[in-house]
Amino acid sequence: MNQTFLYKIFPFLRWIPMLDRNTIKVDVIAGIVAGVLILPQAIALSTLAGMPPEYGFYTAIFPVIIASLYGSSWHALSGPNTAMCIMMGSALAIYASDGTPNYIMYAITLSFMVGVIQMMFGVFKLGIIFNYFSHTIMIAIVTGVGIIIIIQQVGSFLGLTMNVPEPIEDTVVQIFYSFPMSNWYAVFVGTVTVISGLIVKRYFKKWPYLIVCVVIGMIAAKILELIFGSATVNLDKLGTMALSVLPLSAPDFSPENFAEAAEGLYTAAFVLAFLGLMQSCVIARAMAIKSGQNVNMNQEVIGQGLSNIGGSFLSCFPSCGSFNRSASNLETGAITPLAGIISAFALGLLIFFANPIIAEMPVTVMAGVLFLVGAGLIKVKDIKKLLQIRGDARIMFLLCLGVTVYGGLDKGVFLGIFLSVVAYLRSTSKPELDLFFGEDAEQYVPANLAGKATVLQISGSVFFGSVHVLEQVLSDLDKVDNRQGHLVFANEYLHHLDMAGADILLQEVNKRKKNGYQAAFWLRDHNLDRVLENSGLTEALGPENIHYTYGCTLTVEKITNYKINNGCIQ
Amino acid sequence: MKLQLILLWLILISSIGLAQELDPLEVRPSLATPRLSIPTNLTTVPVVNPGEYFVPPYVEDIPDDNFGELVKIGRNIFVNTQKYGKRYVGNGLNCTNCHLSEGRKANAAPLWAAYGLYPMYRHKNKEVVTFEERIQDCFKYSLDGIAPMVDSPEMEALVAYAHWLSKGVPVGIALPGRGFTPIKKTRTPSTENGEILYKTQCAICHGKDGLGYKYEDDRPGYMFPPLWGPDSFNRAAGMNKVKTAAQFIKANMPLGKGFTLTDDEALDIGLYMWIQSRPYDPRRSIITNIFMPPPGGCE
Repeated sequence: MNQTFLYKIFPFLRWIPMLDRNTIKVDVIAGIVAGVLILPQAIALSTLAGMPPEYGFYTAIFPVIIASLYGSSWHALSGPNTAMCIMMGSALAIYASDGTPNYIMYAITLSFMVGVIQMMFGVFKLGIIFNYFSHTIMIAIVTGVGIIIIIQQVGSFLGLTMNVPEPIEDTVVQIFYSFPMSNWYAVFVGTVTVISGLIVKRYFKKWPYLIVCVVIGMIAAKILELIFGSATVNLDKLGTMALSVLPLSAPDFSPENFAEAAEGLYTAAFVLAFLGLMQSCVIARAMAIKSGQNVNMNQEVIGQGLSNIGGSFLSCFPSCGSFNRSASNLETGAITPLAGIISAFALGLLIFFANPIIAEMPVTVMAGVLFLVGAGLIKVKDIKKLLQIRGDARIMFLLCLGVTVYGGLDKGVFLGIFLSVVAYLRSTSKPELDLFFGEDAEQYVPANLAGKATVLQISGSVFFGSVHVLEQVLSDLDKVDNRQGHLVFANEYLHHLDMAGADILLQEVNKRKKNGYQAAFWLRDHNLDRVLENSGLTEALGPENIHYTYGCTLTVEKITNYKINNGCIQ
Repeated sequence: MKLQLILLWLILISSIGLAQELDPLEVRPSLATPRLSIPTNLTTVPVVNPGEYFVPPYVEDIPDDNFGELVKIGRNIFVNTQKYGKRYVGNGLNCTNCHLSEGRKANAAPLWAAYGLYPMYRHKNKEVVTFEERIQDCFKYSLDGIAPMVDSPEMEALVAYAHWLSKGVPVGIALPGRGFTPIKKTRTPSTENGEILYKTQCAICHGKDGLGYKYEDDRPGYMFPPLWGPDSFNRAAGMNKVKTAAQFIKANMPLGKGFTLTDDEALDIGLYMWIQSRPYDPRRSIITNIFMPPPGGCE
């Protein structure tokens, strides 16, 4: 059988031969570390998603295995993701209350839908789209998620019960009015968690700060309970989990359950699919840069899609690549995706043994963990850099951040996609225009032009969307700078010229000719000849004024109108 | 014509009269058939005065919609707390160990008598508590576990069950059959008498050691609940108070033969239960629990 075909169906065949004693040893160690590290995040993120903690673990186990087997990157690890959890929580809260069987059913259905949409992206080879998603927007959305997480968790931190799915401004008002009713024991435990996390993060960089802060927070809670009694301290806790080894489930599209939520689920599925792929692709690319592996983006997208589809049959909510985990996976020395598979099994074993301990985990400690996670998403350095640059980036960042926090993550994502497209169009619609002086200019001035000549270099593309820029520059040359002599266009780096652009150039050439001057063109090759011919520029300039950088001249076979390359590309 | 008018008038009058006479608390038949609580045949006991108590809707009448689904979940948690409420329960008990007949039986703290009274002031909490907060206390003390958060799905299901069970109860009125039965002591309770009574009346089900009997198949939890020991309610539970325990015992124990013990006998058994060891009072510090006498003794 054809080997490439086999590789396409079973991408893991590529790395399985790499496994030898040493690789397996390294991967098993890296996998166990990764499995332990995910523990606090799996719990905390499942609360963000409004799911019982069991489902956070399932999501940190099964999709990881599938994505490891079918993804392209060898180091990217999947699992629950902050932005996706926030999105899911806000989308599903309208249709069912957190953690109820209906809510879980919707989450599982959503996972299936997200997987199918992602698979379509992969099958139609649209993975490349995510390379165009603006980095500024990505930072804005991630920062917005960080802010949302922190605001939503203040209630749990203070030991209060809050209505989290409501609009963010209502949550702020609620915090303001119920602050005096806080459970101060909970505030103490939460503060201990956050401070210990910050200290470890700052001064003991090698330690896993999330795990250390959870342990310290739980010890603080236990001490308070021994001193004052658990019912006096009255901390809300997670409770014992009912775990199952193979938690089979199925997406539910039956009309009586699905119809009432269909609209919201479709929107959420698209946003989630996009969020997931965007982050997974960024992670896969970042890991590839660090490890030197060649990543196939479409395979990565297919891997993500499969992991979500598979996850929906194993009680998982939508997941995607996780940056923290992937980075630490690479740092601990993982070589093949075996590390990801081992991490899933390690986590599975761990939670079966740690279940009684996790049951005692106070909600306020989890809020502390989420504060740290949320604060980690707000990258102050990047934001400062963005804000210092005048112009598009700053406006885009602030607009997208504001909409994400105030209007919700889905609206932020939609706005982000729109702004990315607009920014891309804006940047491509500006051809680079340079005036040359002195020696730079002289080399372009052909011998037949006697007298004062202006040299204007046009790079990039001149098309209907960008002619206004060219028009402006040309009229400025004429009126403001008083350069009315010969005009030389240095067009070697002009990649694209359409009729509208050619018309502007033609007008200018004709104007110069009317005033008794001449215009000349420098071109690199014959790509633009047809446009010049059709627009009448060749005629207006005269063949003697069209020069080619590599010394070839324009020859057109009159009969076939086929342009012959006179050896300028050698 | 005139005759017809008079007849119509009479019918009208009589119908108004009927509407006034129909008091749901008095005319309705009592007794409901519990299906899931164990052992079933023993708990379907006629109440003391037929027609006196409110009758909750039948299990078959749970509506077939989302609310009904929630009610069914709540009933499952209530009846089989060991399985469906495993996340929060800390000992081996079920809700139905005290709230007999799935929370329906009068004088066994029926849910329908409690639901309409909340939110109410409770001396135990020294504040006005909602029904959810009351359930949290059950989980913290009687079930010796972790209180479910007031917005957790388990809590919503339990409240939905109580809500459905209390369909038609008046708000803010202490219904007959609420809580347990009143009790009056004529002499100081004695543990010796209590021990004798326990061995003759209770030990056959709850065991000589008071640790109850587990199900013989693989089901979690107890067929006959432990009255003390690590798998029983803790020192802060209402049942830990001698008086409350005696009130429950008088009305409901021995199972199926409620109101057969005298008030003093019930208090004797209550005191005998109180002197046994059980989980600490979680409202107090560990030091207080070790060195101070437990709360809830005879006053």
